[in-house]
Amino acid sequence: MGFEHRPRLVAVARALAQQLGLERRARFVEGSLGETPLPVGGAYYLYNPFAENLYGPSSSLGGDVELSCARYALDVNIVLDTFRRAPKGTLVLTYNGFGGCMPASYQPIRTQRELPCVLRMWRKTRSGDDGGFSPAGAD
Amino acid sequence: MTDPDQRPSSLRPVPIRGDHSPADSLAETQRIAADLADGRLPRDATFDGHLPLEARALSSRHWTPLAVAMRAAEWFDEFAKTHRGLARTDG
Repeated sequence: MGFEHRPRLVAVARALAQQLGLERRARFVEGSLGETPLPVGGAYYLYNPFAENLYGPSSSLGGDVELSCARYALDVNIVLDTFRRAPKGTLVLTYNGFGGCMPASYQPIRTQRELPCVLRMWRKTRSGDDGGFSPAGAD
Repeated sequence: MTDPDQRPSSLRPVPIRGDHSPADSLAETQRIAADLADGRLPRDATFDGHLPLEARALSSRHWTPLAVAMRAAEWFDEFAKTHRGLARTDG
């Protein structure tokens, strides 16, 4: 399930899934973090998803959504909170990170550096979360 | 059965190539699907042809390269095979 805040990109994703015959397996939620609940899953994949907030206009996909440093911080914190609340066993795959540090309740279990950016799989190994951060993955 | 042309615009199939006809787009999509099914990796630029025109030039900055997406899928698949408790989400 994908989560995207630009309606035109959601439409493209849905059309492509339909053409590939994947519409029953790949679904897309249109919404903004903080307004639309993030779908709950057993595994998450993120490719530095909020960096557009920090890019200049030449790298922007359009002004049809709010982009700002404040939005960046808000979105990163919502995702971080989602990870902290997730049940033990939850998987997170990050490619070039997600903008924040992973909670200490997650351990990296696979890492590949022979890609343009670092790909890392994390697994939540503790049920509770003390608000701390993992020392791993600071690359 | 509902006449497809009478469906609300939001439910009609969307041509996903800005510079190709829907038929061309479908054929290319099917080629990409066949390549992926056979373990061949299409060029990112080929896949990017499905993006809106204004987004293609920015694809490498905003979207996961296909090689990385394939590796991520492999990792999830391998994890699921070795950890029976992981809930399947592919219906």
